[in-house]
Amino acid sequence: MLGRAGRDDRLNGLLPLPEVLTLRNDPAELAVLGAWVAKCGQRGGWSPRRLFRVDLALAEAFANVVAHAFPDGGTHRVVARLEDGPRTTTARLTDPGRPFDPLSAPAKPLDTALGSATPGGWGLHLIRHYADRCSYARVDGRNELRLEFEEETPAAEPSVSVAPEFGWLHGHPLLQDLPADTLAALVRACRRTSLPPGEVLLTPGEPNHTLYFVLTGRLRVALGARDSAVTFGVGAGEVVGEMSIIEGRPVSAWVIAEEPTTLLAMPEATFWDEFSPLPSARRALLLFLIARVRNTDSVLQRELERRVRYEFLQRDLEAAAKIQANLLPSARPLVADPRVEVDARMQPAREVSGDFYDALMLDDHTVAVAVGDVSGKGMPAALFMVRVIMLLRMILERAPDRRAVLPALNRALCEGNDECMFVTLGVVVLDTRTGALTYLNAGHHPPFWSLGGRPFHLGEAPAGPLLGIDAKAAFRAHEATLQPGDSVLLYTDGVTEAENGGREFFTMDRAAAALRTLGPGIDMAGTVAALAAAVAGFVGATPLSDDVTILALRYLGPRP
Amino acid sequence: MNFDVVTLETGVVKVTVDGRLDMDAAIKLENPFTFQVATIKAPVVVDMSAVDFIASIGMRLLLKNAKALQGRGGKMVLYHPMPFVREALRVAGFETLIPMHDDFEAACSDALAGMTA
Repeated sequence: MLGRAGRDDRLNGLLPLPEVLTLRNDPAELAVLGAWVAKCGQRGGWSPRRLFRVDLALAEAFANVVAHAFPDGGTHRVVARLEDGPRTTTARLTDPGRPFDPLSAPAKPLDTALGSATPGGWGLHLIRHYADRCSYARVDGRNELRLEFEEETPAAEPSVSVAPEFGWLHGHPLLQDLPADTLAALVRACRRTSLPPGEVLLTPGEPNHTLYFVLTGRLRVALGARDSAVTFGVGAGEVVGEMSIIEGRPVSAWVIAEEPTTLLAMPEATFWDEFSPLPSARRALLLFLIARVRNTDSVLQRELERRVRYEFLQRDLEAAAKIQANLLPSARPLVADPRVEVDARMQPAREVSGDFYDALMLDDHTVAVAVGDVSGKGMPAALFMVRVIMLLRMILERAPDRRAVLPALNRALCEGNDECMFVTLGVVVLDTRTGALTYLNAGHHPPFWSLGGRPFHLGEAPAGPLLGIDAKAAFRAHEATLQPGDSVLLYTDGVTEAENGGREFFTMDRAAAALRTLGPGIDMAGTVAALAAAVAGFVGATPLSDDVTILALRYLGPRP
Repeated sequence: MNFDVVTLETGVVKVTVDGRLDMDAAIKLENPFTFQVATIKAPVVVDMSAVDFIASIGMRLLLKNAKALQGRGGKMVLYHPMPFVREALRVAGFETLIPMHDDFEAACSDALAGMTA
């Protein structure tokens, strides 16, 4: 039941996992915290400034907790979490100490003279300065401090003020330290230009002889294909085109405007002859290039990690499908008792399915068969199914009263079922000495019965609630006695809801019609095959939307 | 984390630290820094140009020693803190407590001029 889209969705969901770190309330843990923040920052591709801000604000917040939260001492757990949004990093620090809101505490006034200055009290000033938003809450007996850090452009760095006539340069860091007359001469050789969103500035393979200073807006650099997922942004205060100019080679990546963007375009000759010889420009440019290389590295590393994770997941899925297939009984006959004949088949729609069947002997005269359908998709559903099968087998073998089976299974499945997965299940337990039969149903389609030599028809049966939702749910058991030659057929909704090219369902009626045409002498393998063939003929070339599972049991009598 | 102290011909004591001025560094530097800086009467220039992170625990180290030095008639000056570090120092109010210079000669003259008899 796992679609390709579903797999990709879950992969994407895997990537922005919150990072969690548990620390002791010990100042020595600050080093662990710092190393962890650095790792998260590298993984998240943060700018050096964002890393510095998160690093410092969290270190101060943690130092605060260590100093104030536990006046009685003792070792406690302090938990730090980091979550990267598209433009925001959110840090949360949680501790079980005494209620303490560091934000409501008055910040110590800053000292103004060394002689009277006392160390300390800077933490709050630093946190408030570096976090864009701070909030405090007391949650479940814990202090939770939440700090948010917005993405920013390098232009926000503390800067020397630029002469007012160059305000339109928006303090571009590569230009701001230049003397006014040098800057004026440079700007005269350049032209200003602007791009609407979506406009392509540079195309791979084409020559480029211009260095572009991004003044406002934002560009996106796509490595490889134009719609490549491997991209990084170039914001105000950065440059593009520097690689092709320095190397003298064609452009190597797509550069596309993401927002309305204004640029200062510097001709290659001006760059070499006038700009690059300036010592301050040279240093700023080198610093910028180093940051660019680091950033590209981390973009590529993240992409590599993503691919490796994808491959691992793919392999996991294949392994899960194998484990699942091995779990279903496959040897024929499915049941060794000569007094019954059982056959079943499961045709999965995708690699990891949600359907299952089971057939087993509980003792030398009791046979149990079951068909079920687990909700949800993918690995969680597959793991849930393994739990269902294992528990069902265990409870069937141990419960003396068949009526206790579904309540016991339901209670077990409700435990720790935070994902709210559920299963529908039909179970038949047959005493092969007498033909006494118990039918148990948890939200499953009613079975088809063939009694007294008549063709299959839908029987009356209690539907019962689903398993895994309500631990107190009540179930009724249906009791009957099979005569020699009587049969029962269980199936999943993959049969009745199989869809053809015209978007029609196979339906219960078509299933009944297919079963009615079978001759009285046909065995269970033939019956299962015939119904499966009818479904296959109906859907034609349309891929199955759900697993198709069919199980049939015939009672042959006490002495076959 | 490196910690290096040299006395220049001018009499200026140049202290160089690098890396992160965090808890680890503060613990490691506490004694050597205090021994080298706060027990003398000298113009001290702390070269901050290779310090890429400073937390309040690192600021405490600087302030404590600057105060002790002043108490003995010396003076501490910071040379060329990197922009991020300088911003953090400014937020904590250090601009009015310990002079900072991006030019090494200016830092040395300031430290020398601050000596009291």
